Amino acid sequence: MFNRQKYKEFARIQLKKRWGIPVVMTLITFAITILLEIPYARNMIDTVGQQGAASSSNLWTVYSQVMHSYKQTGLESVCGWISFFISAIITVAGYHVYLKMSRGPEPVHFGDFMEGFNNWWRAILASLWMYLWILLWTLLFIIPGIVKTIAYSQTYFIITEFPEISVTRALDISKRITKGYKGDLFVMWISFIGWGLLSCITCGIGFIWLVPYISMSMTNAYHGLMKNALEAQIITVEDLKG
Amino acid sequence: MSQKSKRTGFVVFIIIVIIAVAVAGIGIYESTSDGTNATGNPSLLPSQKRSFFKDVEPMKKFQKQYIAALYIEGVIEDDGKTYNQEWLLTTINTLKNDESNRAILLYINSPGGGVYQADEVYLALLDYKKAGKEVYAYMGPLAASGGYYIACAADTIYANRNTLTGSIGVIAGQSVDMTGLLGKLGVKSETITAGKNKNMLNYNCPLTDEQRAIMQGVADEAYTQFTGIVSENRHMKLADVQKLADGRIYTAEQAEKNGLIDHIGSWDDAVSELSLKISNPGCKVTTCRYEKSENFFDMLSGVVTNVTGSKTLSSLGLPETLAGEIQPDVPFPAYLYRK
Repeated sequence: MFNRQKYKEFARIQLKKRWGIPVVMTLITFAITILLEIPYARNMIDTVGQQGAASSSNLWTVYSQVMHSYKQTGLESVCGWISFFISAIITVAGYHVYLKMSRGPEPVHFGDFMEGFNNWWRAILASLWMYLWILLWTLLFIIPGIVKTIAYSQTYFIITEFPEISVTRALDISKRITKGYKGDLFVMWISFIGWGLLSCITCGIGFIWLVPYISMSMTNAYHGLMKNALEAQIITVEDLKG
Repeated sequence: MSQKSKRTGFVVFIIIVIIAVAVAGIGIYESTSDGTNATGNPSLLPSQKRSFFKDVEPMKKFQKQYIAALYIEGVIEDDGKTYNQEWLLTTINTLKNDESNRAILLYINSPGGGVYQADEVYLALLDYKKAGKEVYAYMGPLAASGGYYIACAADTIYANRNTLTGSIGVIAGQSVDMTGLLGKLGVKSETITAGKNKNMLNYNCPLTDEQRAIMQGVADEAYTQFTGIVSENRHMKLADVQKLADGRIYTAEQAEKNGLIDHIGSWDDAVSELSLKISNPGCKVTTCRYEKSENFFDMLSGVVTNVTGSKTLSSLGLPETLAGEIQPDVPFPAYLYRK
């Protein structure tokens, strides 16, 4: 059974008195993301500035002109890929900490986060493999792309928890364990919207706590999905060996 | 093992931080460095790219100055393959508000187009000039009718020695009366209207004398406007302009002789003269050219329309070239040169 409330409740208990490292991890992720977004933001702001100066009277005209004139530069394309890979590496490093927190009440350290970066190569491979499949599904239509994004969402957890498993098999296992629960996972994501809006009101400061809360809840959901799949023999222990 | 893996992880983390800082650094450097069109986007103007890093020194301001080479290509209409009215007006307005822009050098290669659209561009250029900036025009292979109308906004008009220009005149509309053909085919087509001239110029309605007079009135009015603008901007007598404005095209030499253009020369000649005029020899030239991003479906729908249109006409025993006549993509009334 998929119990969203339980996963969230566990997350709050697991994070109690252990907010420090997750918050630091979130801040580091934010900082790196901001740095990586500078070339993109620069081009976008320039375009907005230009089109805004030209037709500042009408917001919609400004928007449509910006979209019309905005073009991605070569630098942005390269930065986009770098950003994509780095965010995968950081996500996997973060999951390393959240998985540790979900297993026991002992305190986590910054070193645990650093240890997660060892998985960098597998994180890059997994992100590319997922991207390829999501892209292929999105070619059909946007909805299959979203469905498959949810289906592959457990891949990072699997490659973090089972370092011996290949990336392709991790994706396959993710697909199998989410079968029948994709709707639940989607609803779980949606259920954080209220907190998200509240965080926006606080100029984004709230996200420093919201991101660990979401990640911890999703880690618990992953454990739940894995347990269900093992019990229903959708996957076996053998599948989780290298 | 754990300590070692933490150390390795730390090294990876440091590398990521270095990459992120480097990417940010490159982004900021791109913003502050000189050079036109670093983004490859022709509509982005250099001074606005750097507007967040205010350089107040006059020397730097002088170095930032530039001439905008504004391309007007194709039929003057709302949205075409090489021409977009909204983009053009916005670009002119942006250039007007851009402190670093000193002048516009128009590159015109157009057979003309809609009266409304051509006049809108003409007025936008006059508005631009009110900011104390210069407008020059350079004519490419063809700058006829509406293309010439826009060129009239320029202080000086250059033309290539092989340019064709002129075609000062108006097409108010056209009637393709297909009632005879439809009768032969046994097709009855009827449009229900109120107002006796509501259906005029429709394919199933022969043109009456009254309707002919109505359209002539439209043509005459637009013609008066066109000749008035030529007279005013080229400093010629209206009667002299009207003598020239019989709709014919002129070669560059004929146009120069008749005072319709100022000089025959190259693009570089026009750039040099304009640079001297704005007292900034060697001034940068930034290209502002409309580029339509056409996707696969646009291409496909264009091909399908052409093929089905041609097939229909062929099946009726009519020449395929009639497609352009029956379904003109030009807004009427038009200042348009038809080959």
